[in-house]
Amino acid sequence: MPDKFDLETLYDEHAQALYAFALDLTRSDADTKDILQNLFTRLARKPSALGGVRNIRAYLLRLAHNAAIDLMRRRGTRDKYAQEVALESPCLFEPTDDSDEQAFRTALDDALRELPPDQRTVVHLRLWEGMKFEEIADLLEISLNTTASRYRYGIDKLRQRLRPLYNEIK
Amino acid sequence: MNLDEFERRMRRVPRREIPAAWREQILEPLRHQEAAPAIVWWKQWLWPHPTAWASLAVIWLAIFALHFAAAPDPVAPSAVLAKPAPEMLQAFEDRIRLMAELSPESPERETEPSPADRPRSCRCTAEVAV
Repeated sequence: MPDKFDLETLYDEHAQALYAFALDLTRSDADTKDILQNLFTRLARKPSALGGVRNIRAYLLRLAHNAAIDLMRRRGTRDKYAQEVALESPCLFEPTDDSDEQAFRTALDDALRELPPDQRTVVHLRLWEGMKFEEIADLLEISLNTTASRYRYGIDKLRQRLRPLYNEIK
Repeated sequence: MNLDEFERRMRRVPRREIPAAWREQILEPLRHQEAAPAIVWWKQWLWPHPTAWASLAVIWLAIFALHFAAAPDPVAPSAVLAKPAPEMLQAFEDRIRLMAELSPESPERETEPSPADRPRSCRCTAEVAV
């Protein structure tokens, strides 16, 4: 991996994944934009940061995750702010004209939002980034057992929450 | 509901697209930004605590200053190489002469034979005379 990289190519290849992941954690477009801005600024100032990195996507997701966690910790005790954010937060999924599918996507978005952040993180990386448990454990710096258990609890809650809707539109 | 089937169903749901306008908004300020200069290795030791290092240096300078201020004045080279006073030279010569006179090997003392060296007849005559 060369020390100098093309920042714009990096953006084109990874920004979409970083955006979806950060949005799932923060549930705020403004916060997500701040996270991406800071992340790419950091890369621009220190091009050698990616030197020796084998999995760039995983590295960038880790940076985004750490930034989102820091943000949530700073705001975590303010319940009123959290409620306001929840009301205004954009849907994580692309809107569709199919009403049944849209209802499913809205329900899925609500179910994900109800998950604890640690379970939501693992579920997102497993389902939409296609990462293995070992890769997720390495990214989040947790054990493999913890990764697997968080995923299991999270996916079970989603299944219970979405069972009625899933059976209808299956 | 089969877990694999459920997971496949979830994965098919497309995530929201990142706003297109963000690309320029995020990248434009960075196009002309220069990389931060690499930190020299020794700065990584000093820079986090420059005050502490500066204070330590001041303390050592003070210790050295006090040490050299308390040291005795060295003898001036001119004093070492200066000629001794004439009085001192005379006194030194007198001392040497006196030591020479008092020495058992001095020539004055050699003119008088020791009593043990004189013949016995002379020694007896000297005792009777007394």
